[in-house]
Amino acid sequence: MSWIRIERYFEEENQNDSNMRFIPMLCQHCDNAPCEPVCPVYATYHNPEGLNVMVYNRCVGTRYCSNNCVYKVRRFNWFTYRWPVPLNWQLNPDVTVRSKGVMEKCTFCVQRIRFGEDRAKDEGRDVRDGEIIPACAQTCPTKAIVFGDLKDPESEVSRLSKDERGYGVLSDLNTHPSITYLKKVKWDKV
Amino acid sequence: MDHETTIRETTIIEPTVTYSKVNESVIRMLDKPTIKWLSLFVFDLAVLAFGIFCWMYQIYMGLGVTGYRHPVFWAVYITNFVFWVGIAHSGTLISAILFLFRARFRMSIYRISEAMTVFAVLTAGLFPLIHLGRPWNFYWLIPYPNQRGLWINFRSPLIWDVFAVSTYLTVSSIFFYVGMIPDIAAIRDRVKEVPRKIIYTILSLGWKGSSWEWSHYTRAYFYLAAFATPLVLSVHSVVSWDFAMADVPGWHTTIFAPYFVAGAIFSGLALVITLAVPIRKIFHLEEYITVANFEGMAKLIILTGLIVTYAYIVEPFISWYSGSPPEWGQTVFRAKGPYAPFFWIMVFCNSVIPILLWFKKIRTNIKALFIISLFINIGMWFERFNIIVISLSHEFEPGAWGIYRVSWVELGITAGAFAWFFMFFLLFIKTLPALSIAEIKEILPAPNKEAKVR
Amino acid sequence: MKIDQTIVGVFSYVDSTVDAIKRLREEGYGNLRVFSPFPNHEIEDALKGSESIVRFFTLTGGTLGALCGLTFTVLTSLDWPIRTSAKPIVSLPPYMVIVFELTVLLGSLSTVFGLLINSRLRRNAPRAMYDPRFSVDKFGVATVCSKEDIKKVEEILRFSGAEEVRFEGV
Repeated sequence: MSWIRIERYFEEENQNDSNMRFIPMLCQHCDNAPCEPVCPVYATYHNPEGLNVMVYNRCVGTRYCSNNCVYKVRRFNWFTYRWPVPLNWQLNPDVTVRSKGVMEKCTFCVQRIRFGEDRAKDEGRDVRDGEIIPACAQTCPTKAIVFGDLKDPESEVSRLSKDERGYGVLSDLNTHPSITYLKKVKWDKV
Repeated sequence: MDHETTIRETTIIEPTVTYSKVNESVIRMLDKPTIKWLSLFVFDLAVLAFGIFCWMYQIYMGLGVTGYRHPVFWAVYITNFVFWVGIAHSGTLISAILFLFRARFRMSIYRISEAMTVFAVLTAGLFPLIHLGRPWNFYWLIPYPNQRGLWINFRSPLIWDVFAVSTYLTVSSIFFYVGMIPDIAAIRDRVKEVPRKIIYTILSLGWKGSSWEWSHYTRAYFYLAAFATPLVLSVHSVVSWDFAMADVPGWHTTIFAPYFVAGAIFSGLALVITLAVPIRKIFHLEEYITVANFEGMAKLIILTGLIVTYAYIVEPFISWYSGSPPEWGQTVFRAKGPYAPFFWIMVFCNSVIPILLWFKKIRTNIKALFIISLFINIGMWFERFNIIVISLSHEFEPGAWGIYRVSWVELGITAGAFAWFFMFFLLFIKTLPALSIAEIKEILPAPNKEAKVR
Repeated sequence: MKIDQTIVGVFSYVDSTVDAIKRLREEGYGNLRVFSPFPNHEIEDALKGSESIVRFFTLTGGTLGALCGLTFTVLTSLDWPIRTSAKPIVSLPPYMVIVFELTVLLGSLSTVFGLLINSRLRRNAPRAMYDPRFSVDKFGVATVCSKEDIKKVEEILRFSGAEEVRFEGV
C-alpha cells in the first residue's frame, strides 16, 4: 500500500543521452481537494490544520474519492491485511485499520504531527520549525523533502514554497495542492 | 367517429378485438404455468443462486476478488447500475410521457414496459450495495438521526443518487400499481379459486368502476404521469452526474445529462422490444401488440440513437478543440488503446446498426427488430463500460495509468442480476395483467346502439 | 317514504347508458352510481360531476416535499459544519437536486393517498350492486329510491334500453 510513489519520467535528449526525472507523488492535501465533496458519508474532509483527513471508521468504500483524485494517490484495501502475530497487538481496537473496503492515503504522518503538538503543548510552547518530521522527509538521504507550517512566514517550508522554481503538480486543475515542487534546473540550459 | 376510423386504419389494435375478448386474452395469460415456464423459471433461479454465491464470496474475501485495480476503482458493477437504471427510464417514458402526449401506439405495450421499469430499478438498486467496500454499513448513506450526530454529505452525487433512485423506485412502483387496479378488479371478477380470489380482491382495493372512482383515478393517473416525466429526466441526469461532477477526463463534460437520458431511452426501448416479441408470440397477443406498436418504438429508437450518435461525434470534437492533453489523450486511448475493440463494438452497435431501422421493411419486420434490439442492448452496455473503465484507466497522471481485467466474480454477479430481473418478470407474466385491459377498451370504438359502422 | 332500495340497470351500449342517466336526472334521481369497464367522456359529461379534488392533495404533497428537502439539507449542514474542499457549508445548487426529488416523492405519495381517500368517502351513494360483467363489457346505472317508486325507476331504465334490471334483495 504505497502511499507515496516515485514517478519516473524519461526524457531523451539524443540517442546517446537520456535524462530521468523523479517526481515523488503523495497525497497533495489539496485546499480545493476534489476527493472531499464527493464522499457521501463525510469520511474525508479538510480539517482546520489544512490536512485532508481520512476517517477510516466512517468509510463505506464507495471509492468515489479515488476516482476524483487527479493525482491518484488514494489506496484501497481490497483485502483485509492480517498483521503477523505479535504485530497485531500494536493496533488500536477502536479504529478501523486496514479493514477490507476502507480507503487510505498519506496523512502527512499525522501521528507524528499530533505527537509534536502534544509535546509542545505539555511544555507550554509553540511547535518549533523542523520539530515534526514525517517519515518520508526523515528517510530521504538528500533532504529533498521539507515539511513544516506553511502559515508560519519564518519556516523553511514557507521560504522554499515562494521560490521561483516552485510549481504545483497539475495546478491548472485548481486543486491548490499544499505541496510545492521545486523544478530541477540544469545549469547548461540556464 | 372520424377519430375512431383513423385508429383502425393504422391498426393499433386489430378490429377483431371486442371488449370481452380483451378480458379473455389477458386473463388467459394467468392460467396455470406450463412446463416451459417452469423450466425457464428453474434455470433462472439457478443462475440467480450462482450470482448470490459470487456476492457472498466477494463479501467474505473482499473486493480484491474482482478485477478492480488501482486506478480503475469503478468498473462492471457501476456499468450494470447505470445500464439497469437506463433501461428503467424508457418504461416510464412509454407509460407516462407518451400518455401525456396521447400517443396511441403505447396502449398495448405500456404495462410490459412499466413492469420492466420497476424490476429494472430493483435490479439497479442492488449494485450500489454490491460495489461498496463495506456493504454491511450501507445504511450510513441514509440520513438517519444517530448518536454521533453525523449526517450525510448532500454535496456528493452519490447521495443525489440515493434520493433519486429511491424516489424513482417508489414513484414507478406506485404508478405501476395504481395503473393496474382496474385490471386487477377485472381479474378478481373472473377468478374463482379461493386463495387467488382473495389476493386479487385485496389488491384491487375494492374497485367497482363507479364514475367518481374513474374521475379521481384519471386525475391521479394524470398527475402521477406529470410527476414521472421530470422524474425520468432528472433521475438519469443525476446518475450521469456521478460522472460529470467528477474531474476525470472523459467524464467531466456537460453533455452527459442529455446524452445519458437519450441513451437510457434508447436501450430501454430495445429491451421492451426484446421482451415484447416473445411474449406476443407465446401468448398469441398479435391482435393487441401490432406491427404499428413496434414501428412506433422503432421510430423512437431512431431518434434517441441519433442523439447518442451526436454525442459520440461531439465528445471527441470538444476534446480535440479543448487542447487539453489529458482530454485528447483519453479520446485517442479509447479509439486506439488496448480497449479499442470495446469502443468499436459500441459505435457499431449503437450508431451503425440502428441505420437499418430507417428502412420501413426492416422496421416492420418483427424478427429483424428483435435481433437489432439485442445488438442495441449489447452496445449500450459497452457504452457504459467504455465511459467508466476506459476513462479511469487513462487519467491525468501517467504514473497512475492501469488496465482493468474483468473477473469471474463480476461476471457471475452480472449474470445473477439479469436472472434477478427475469425472475421478477416471469412472476409478473403469470400473476398480473400484462396488458392494460381498461385502456385498450378506451381506444376501441365505443359500443353505440345507433352506430351503423362496425 | 324511506329511500332505501337500490336498483341497478345493466346496459351494453354507451348511448343507452347516457340516455338513462339523462332521464333519471330529469325525474329527480340525481344520486347515481354509474359502473363502466373504462372511463368514458360521454358518461362523465352526462353526470356533470365536479373536478376531482385529488389535485389539492398533489399540490400540498409537492410543496411539503420541497420545503422538507430544503430545510433538511440546510439544517443538517449547519448542524455539524464539515469543510469539504472549498465548497460552502450551505451549498444550495446540489441541494436543489434533493429538493426536487423530495417534491416528486411526496407529491406522488399524497396523490395516491388522495385517490384512495376520495374513492371511499362518498356518502349516501347507492350501495354497490356490483355485477362482474361491469369490468368486462357492460355498463351499470344504479340509483336509490323508495319501495313505491321501484316500478317507475324500472320503467325509465327499461325504456332507455336496459337489458336487465335488478333490485336489492331480489
